[in-house]
Order: sequence, then structure tokens, then C-alpha cells
Amino acid sequence: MHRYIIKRLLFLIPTVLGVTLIIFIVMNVTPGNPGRMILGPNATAAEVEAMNEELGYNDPILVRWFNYLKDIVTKGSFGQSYSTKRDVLEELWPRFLVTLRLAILVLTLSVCIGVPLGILSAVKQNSLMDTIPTMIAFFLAAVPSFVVGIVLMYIFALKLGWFHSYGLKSVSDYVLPVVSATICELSAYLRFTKSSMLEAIRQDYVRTARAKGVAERTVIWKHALKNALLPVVTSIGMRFGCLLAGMVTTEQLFSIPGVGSLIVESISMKDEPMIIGCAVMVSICFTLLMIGVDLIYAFIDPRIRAKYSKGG
Amino acid sequence: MKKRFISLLMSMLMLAAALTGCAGGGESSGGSENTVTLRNTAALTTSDPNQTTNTHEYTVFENIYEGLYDLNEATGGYDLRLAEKVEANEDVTEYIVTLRKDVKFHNGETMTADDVVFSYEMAQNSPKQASFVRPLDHVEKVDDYTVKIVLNQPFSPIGHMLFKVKILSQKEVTEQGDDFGKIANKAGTGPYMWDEENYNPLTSWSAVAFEDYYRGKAKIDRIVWNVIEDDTSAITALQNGEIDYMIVPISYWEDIKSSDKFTCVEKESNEVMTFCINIESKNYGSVLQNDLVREAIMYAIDRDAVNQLVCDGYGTPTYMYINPNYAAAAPTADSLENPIPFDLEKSKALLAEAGYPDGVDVGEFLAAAGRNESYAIAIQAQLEAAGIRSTLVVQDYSVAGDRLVAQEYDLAMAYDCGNYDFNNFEQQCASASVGIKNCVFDGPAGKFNELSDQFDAWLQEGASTADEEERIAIYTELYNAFYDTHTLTPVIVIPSCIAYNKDLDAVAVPTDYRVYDWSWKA
Amino acid sequence: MAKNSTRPVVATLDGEDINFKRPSQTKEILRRLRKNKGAMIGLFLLICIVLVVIFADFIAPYEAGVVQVAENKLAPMSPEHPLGCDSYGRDVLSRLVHGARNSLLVAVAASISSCLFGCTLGAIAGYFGGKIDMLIMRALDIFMSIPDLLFTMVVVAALSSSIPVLIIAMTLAYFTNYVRLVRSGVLNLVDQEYVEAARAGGSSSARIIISHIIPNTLGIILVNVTLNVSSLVIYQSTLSFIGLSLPAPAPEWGSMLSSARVDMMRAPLLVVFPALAIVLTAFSVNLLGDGLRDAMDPRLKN
Repeated sequence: MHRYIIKRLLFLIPTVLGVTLIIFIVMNVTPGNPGRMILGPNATAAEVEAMNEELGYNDPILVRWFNYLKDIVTKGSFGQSYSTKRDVLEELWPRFLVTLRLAILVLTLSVCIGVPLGILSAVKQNSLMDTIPTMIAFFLAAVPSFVVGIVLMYIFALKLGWFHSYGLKSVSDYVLPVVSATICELSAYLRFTKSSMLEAIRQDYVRTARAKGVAERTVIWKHALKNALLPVVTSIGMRFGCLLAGMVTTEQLFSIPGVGSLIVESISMKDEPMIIGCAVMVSICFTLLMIGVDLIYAFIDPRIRAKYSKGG
Repeated sequence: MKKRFISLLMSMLMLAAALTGCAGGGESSGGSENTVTLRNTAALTTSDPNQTTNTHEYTVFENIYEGLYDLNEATGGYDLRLAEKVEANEDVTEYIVTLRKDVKFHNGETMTADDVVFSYEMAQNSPKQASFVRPLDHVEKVDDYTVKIVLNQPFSPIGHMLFKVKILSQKEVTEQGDDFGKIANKAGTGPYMWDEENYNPLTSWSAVAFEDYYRGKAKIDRIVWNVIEDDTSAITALQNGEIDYMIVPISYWEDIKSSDKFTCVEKESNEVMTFCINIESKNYGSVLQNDLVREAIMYAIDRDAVNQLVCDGYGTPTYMYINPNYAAAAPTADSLENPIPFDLEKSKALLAEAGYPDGVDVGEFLAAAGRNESYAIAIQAQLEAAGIRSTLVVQDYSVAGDRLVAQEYDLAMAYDCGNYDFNNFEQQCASASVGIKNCVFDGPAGKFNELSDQFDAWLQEGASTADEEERIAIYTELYNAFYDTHTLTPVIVIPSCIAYNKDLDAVAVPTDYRVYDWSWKA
Repeated sequence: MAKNSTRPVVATLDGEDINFKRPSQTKEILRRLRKNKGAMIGLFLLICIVLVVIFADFIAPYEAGVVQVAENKLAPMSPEHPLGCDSYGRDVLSRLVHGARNSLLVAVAASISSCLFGCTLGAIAGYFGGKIDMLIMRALDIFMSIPDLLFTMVVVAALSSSIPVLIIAMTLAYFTNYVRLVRSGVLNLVDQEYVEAARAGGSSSARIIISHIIPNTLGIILVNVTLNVSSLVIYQSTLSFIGLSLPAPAPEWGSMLSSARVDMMRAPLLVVFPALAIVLTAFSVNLLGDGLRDAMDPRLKN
């Protein structure tokens, strides 16, 4: 088991290598250059060129990539932001925490509402308890999250004046962004749990249990749910990973300084170290989350645990 | 057992969420009565006035740092600020500046000539300030309160440089070293100083009134800036009374005015939206060098329609590159001899005459995302109506600006602001100009080579003349010749709509407000 | 994963006598689909939308959607402009119906191309196994860990926004699912007797993949392609919101929505129409896709 975890953790290295290389390659095609970015429109072409040279921007892409990795290993530095000149990690970390906080709230809320509703609509399939939440989920899944955000802001911040329309200064400021992001996340959980639960209910052993006269409630809660939740856990892990970089519109709309808005700003300013920093940070998180999901899997499902200890 | 695990997981998640959620709260903005809360459109990237070219940062810095001169946007022209007296020598190549003796930096140090020399060197070393200090050779100390500014050419319109270069405390800057610009500092002399307790460049920061300010402590004790990127969000905050003074995006203006909650001021700004044609274009140069085509393009631009569509009619259609209301020595609006009005038929006729009766492709129409984009959309359609077809290419400001500088465009939308002396026009027409120059006149095509030399001569003459009337005459001639190249044409003066709290006695200006001049009504 | 791997196994049961059962199976699926009310509503709405796309020129002329008329700025609904005009005085109805072409073209094309790309990779990985499989799957793991939106934005920033670029960028964001799906499907099938038989019979690898393996995962792929169209329509509007839309004046729902936002206070309908179009499309596609999934699930037969 330990060896398995270590093996998975070691995979972080090729992940960082791969992610940085991919972004490097794509950024290389992007028009514009860092010298102009750093020095601003008033600088002369010669100054810009000198700055590019100093940054090693004119080197072949693989050399630049190698130097970048060297800095990470030797100096532990992801470079300096072109626009603020601050260390990338220093700049990224507080923003990451902001997003993490939001993402945890959104995840908790949508899991707490979405999963039970999903179970309910699977158990009571084809009744009103099923069709109403399912239809609502279908509808919400079709609404872009920024539209929900705008509507909520319009009603609760502008017309009713209950909440602030920007920032995260007090606890109440979390309400609008979290709710608007949750509304769109929610339906995914509901739909996913429902189909996973339906699948479980139709399994043979559930039928067998039913046939053997086990009480319906026990069948559902004991036999079906257990199996239904396995894929739900994976999906929670995946979606959480996506949330970390995926709340861009919410962050932009409510002026929240998170990773998402940082990504948008950095890309618009062609702040390469920052873009790569964001990508690396999020992808490490994503990989760690997937490892975590696997561990939870192993914890829940003895069969998988057995496989890991044998094979790992 | 598994169910228990899940519920355990859930409750842990919830706990974590609750904890992190609460951790974010706690800090509340100072709600004291003598504070103004303002919107800033983006995060601060620096606290060093030499390290920015962003308007949203200038706006903040103008309240914290000062130059030898200050720009008076409300009445136009420059006021003496840290300088007591500025005298030029005969051929305007040297200026003797007598400094005020009562100026203290925020760190308590007294300002001396050394700080001024140091600050000018700092500005000279910053590429972001390059275009402002271009005529500067060096600054030398005469005595503790006198400096000599030595220029590399005769240059009379020196006001803008004296305003733009902020005087910083040598001691503070040296002490902060590499951190200068990254954290709050006490290096300024302005009426407000950074509040080190509340300096969060990403979200919110404040400045408090400086006790020892030489013109007397400001009436408003504290300024709080909050970053609100989204316009809808900002308008909501304004409507809810969370913001005291704000430049309102035009599309919300009617709504804000009719709400009757604010003092509303409409002003002409000094920001001019311009349309550029690149005669050096790689792909379409041959078409765009055709005088008839460029003239046809000029006739196709309907400034009034642009004003209606983009500015709701609040803008001012213009042919002047620099708004004469704000700039010194600027030719007046009626001094342009051959302004080309909108005339669709004439445009089509010219195009036919040029050999393109069925219209012509002129390549890419470049615009920076956001404001420039909305003007470009309007003008692109107008050109299309005349048969001048282009593809709109909208890119981020950093990329679009870069392409303008590198002449990698066919048509483009650009804008310029902050021109308080017509000499600034040299940026567009001087052959040696530094910074964003939209059209090149001495390029490989060689079309306007002679004219380019003539531009340089006029600019030289204007800069070495001290008399304003004479300068206006020179610049009028220059501007007429420039306009007749039909390469870069001003389209509209962007309106500036400002709303502020009815209890606030503010002085509304188009861009950089000075909170020092404000007070709350008793 | 558990969900994906069960299905193809069941499908093989029908697969063995493919020639005889295929028509009746399709009929059966259609019959079940017809009984699903939700799916029928979705299908009906979709047909309407497709009709609008086809007959856009008869509903409203393209010209009215791009020509700017200053006097018509934010004009309210009227007989000439049934849905009013936008802030450039362009007819909203015309932009909406012609925008449907661009929006749906990008979404459908991206959905199909991501499917083709992902399926090819997945089939290669699953069929050849070993080193190739490992290489593809590890690369995929790395690729998946890059946030979609970041990658899309970087690609669009690099190549500048146009219909093909948007399709490429979205394909790259959406293909990963298919690789896993097809690979696990293939892994389950590779050892099946009929595949071995085909191999023994001298069929080439590509032929085996195309003629035996792909058809067996076709059902779930089809469902995925359908459902992805809806999320791509939404994804596209999100991209517009952060400024990555098709260059103007080409009408497109996402950019209509995000540019109408500034006029929300005085002309709320400008936001409502494109939003409604996006929601309606995504909603009906979801309904149909979900119905399709249920109909293809053999265990729902009774």
C-alpha cells in the first residue's frame, strides 16, 4: 500500500515536467513578448530586446524549459511575475487559499444537497420525487454559471441590498458567489448520483437480496448505496479538481482574487511565469486529489485494497 | 460502517468549510464618517510610481506621491507643487528649480535637492517612464534646496515631465531596497500616505491623511480603495452606497442619473479615440498607400453614429488628436483646414476612382479588447457599408499594443490620453519618438519621408519656443499637415461621467482625482 | 469507471450475432426512446432549433443582424424588429437565429471531433496495450491535470479566436473522457472469442477495431457526444464571458449574452434572449441524451 502511494506520488514529477512543457510550447506560439510586457509601451524597441535577451526569451524553447526546471530544483523558485515582479508562489498562494475556501464551500454544499436528492430520485424513480428534482437539475445544468451569478447579484445585491456585490470581506460576502457556483455544480451531483444509484439497484445481488425478502429499506441503504457511492467519490474528486481552476466566471463577476481570475489576468498580460505557476499548482492539486480518491476507494472497497497490497 | 465513514467525511468537510469560511471574515472596512471609499478597476501591481503605465495605478498614486509640478485637471494647466520657482535659461535647455523648504516625506525626512536628483535618476532608469524623461539629460544639485535640470535639447513644454516624475525619499527607497514597490512605503510627499496596516494590493488598500503635509492636513482622513473589476458589480456597490465616487460606464449612466441619489457630472475627457491606417502594412500596404483609398476610408467614418452607438451621444465627435480644452499650446478645433466629413457616396465614388468599384479588402482591423473594441465594432461596420472590408481582430491590450508599436496591423483602433501639452503629439509624428507610435512616416515605403523630416523640424521649433501663441501657430501648421496624410484620424472624445455621494463635496475630474480637494458636507 | 466497464460486456451478448439482431435492437431502442416523454420533448425542441438553423435566412435576413443603425440603438420590440435591437442597432432576432449557426456549429463540431480524436487514442491504447497503452495513458493523466479553461484560454490566446481555433481548443478540453471510455471498452473486448477469431482470420488491427470494437461501445459514445454538445454550448458562453468569443460582428450566443450584460439595467431583454437560447438548447440536448442513455440500457428492457 505504501509503495503504491509512493509510486503515485512520484508520478507528480512527470506531471510537472509534462505540464510545464505543454504550456511552454503553446505560450511560445502566442504573439507578444515578455520584454514589452515588463517594460510597458513607453520603452524603446532596443530596451525591450535587451530585456528579452536578459530573460533568456530568445533561447530555444527547450533551453528555456530546462532553465525553468533548473530554477525550480535549485532555487525552489517558479520565477517572478512579469507584471508585479513578485515571486510567483508568493503571489499565487494567497489566491489559491481563497479559491480553495470557495471550492470547499461549493463542494460541501452541492454534495450535501445533490447526493441525497440523487439517491432520493433514484429510489423513488418515476414518482414526483424523481421527476421534479431531475427536471430542475436538467434545467440548472443548462444555465451558464455567470448567468446565475448575474441574476443573483441583480436581485440580492442591487434590488434587495442584502449582500455586497464584490469581494470577500465578511462571511456574508461568501453567500452570493458560493450559491451561484453551487447551483450549477449541484445538478451534476444529482444526475451522477442518480444514475449510479439506479445502476446499483439493478445489480443482481440487489435483486437477489430483494428476492430473499430483505426489507426494501435495507436493500437500498445497505446493499445498493454502498456500491453506488464508489463512482460518486471519484466524481467528487474530479469535480473538486476542476473547481479549483473553474470558478473563473464567479471570481471575475464578484471581484474575488482567486486562482481563476489570476489565470485570466495572467493570460491577458502574457505573464508566462504566472500562467505556468497556476497550471503547475492546479495540476499538482488535481493529481493529489486523484491519489486521495484512490485511497478512499481502497478504504471503502476491500477488494481494491487487497489488489493494491498485492500488486503494490 | 461505510455509511458512517461517508458521514464522517461530510462532517469533516463541513467543518473545514466553516473554519475556512470564518477565517475570511473578521476584517471590516473602516466605517468612520471621515472616509471616502473608491473603486479601483484592478489590483495594484506595484506601489512604485516609476514602475507603472496603468491608469488605475496613476489614479491612486496621484494622491500619495507628488512631482515638482502638479497637473490641475479641473482648471487645466500645471500648478507649482514641490517646486517654489522654476526658471528657464535663454535657449530653454536648462531649468533652475527652487524647492520648497517645508516639505516632509511620509517617513518624516525633509525633502532636499538630493532626493530630487535621486528621483530623476530613478525615473531615467525606468523604461516605463522613458517617454516622459526623453528630453532630460541629467539633474544636478546646486544647493540643498535648488536643483538644475539639464536637457539634451531646447525644450519648453517641460511641465509634463515635472509633473510625471514623482519625488521619492532617497532614504526610504534605499532602505526598502528590492522590496520597494512590492510593499507599502513612506517615500511620498503627498497629502495621503499608504496605510501599512491595510495594504492588500489584490483586494483593498487605504491611505490616511498625512499629518505633516505642507499645505495642511487633508479634510478627509482616510481613502479606501476596493478592487471591483466587474462594472455591474461596481454599479451595484455604488447604488448601495458602498462607493462614494465613481466614473460610471456610459451604459449605466441614464440609470444612475435617474436614481437621483448622486451628484452627477458629465465632462469631456482628455481621452481621444483614434483610428489608424498602416501604410507600412506588409500585406495590404500597396492598397493602403493609395491616397484615394485612405481618403475613401476617411469619408466612410460617421463620427456622429459612433457617438450614438458607443457613447449614447455623450461623447464629442472630434478631429483633434489632443483635446484643446486640456492641453497647452494645442491648435483649436476650428484650425483644421480640411476636415473630412462623413459622406458615404463620396467614399464609394473615391473607392471606384481608386479602381475598386466593387469594394476592397484591407486586411485586419486590430483593436484591444474592451473599450477600443466597442469603437472598432462600430467603425468596422461603417467601413463595410462603404465597401471597405476588414476582419476585426480583438486581442488583449498587451498583445494589441505590442502589434501597434511593431506596425503589425492594417487598420487599428487606438486611444491616447494624458496629453496636457500639444508637444506630446511628438509621440505620433517625431521620427525619434519613444513609445506607442501608431503610424510610421519614415518607413521603408518612403511615402512621407520628406514630411517626416518636416514634422521633426516643426516639433523642434515648437519645443524651443517659449511663447504660447507662437507655439500654437507652429503646431497648427504641423497638425494640418499631419491630418492631411489621412493615416491617423481622431474620432471621438470619450465622455467622462462621474457620480458621487450627494453629501460629498468632490471635485469631479475626468481621470485622476485629488481627494485632498474634497470634503464631506457638514 | 465501474459504470463504463459494465456496459460493453453486456453489449457483447448482442454483439455475437450482430447481423441478425442489429435491426431489431435499433428498433427496440427507438421504441423505448419514443416512450420517454422527456426525450421526446428534447427531440422536439432540438428539431425546432435545427429547423431555425436551416431556415435562418427565411426567418430573418443576415444583413439586419450585422448592419448598424444608430437610430435603432436598443430599440424595443416592434413589428420590424420582433425582439428589438441591440446596442449597435442590430436586429436581435436576426442575430439570434444566425448566431445559432455559429454557436451550434462550434459545439457540434467540437463534440464530434473530440469524440473522434479521443476514441482513436483510446482504441490504440486499449488494443495494442503494453508500452503504447502506458505512454498514452500517462500522457493523458498529465494532460487531464491541466485545468481545461486555462488550456483553452492559452490556446486561443496563441492562435487568436476564430471558429476553427475554438473547435480545436474545445476538442482538446473534451477528448479525454473518450480515451478512457473506449480504452476500457476495448480492454474488455480484446480477449473476447470473436475478436480472436477475427484476428485468426487475418483481419488487420485497424479493421478489427473499427468493425468489432467500436460498434460495441458506440451506444455510450453516442450518448456522450450528445451530452457534450450541451456542455460545449455552455462552455462557449463561458469563454465569451471571459473575452474569448468569435470576432465581431459574427453573431454568436455567448458573445451576445456577455456583450448585452452592460446594458442589463436598461434593456434586460437583451440578456434574456441569448440566455434563453443557450439554456433551451442545452436543456433539450440533455433531455435527449439522457433519454438515449436510458433507451440503450438493455437492463431497462422490462
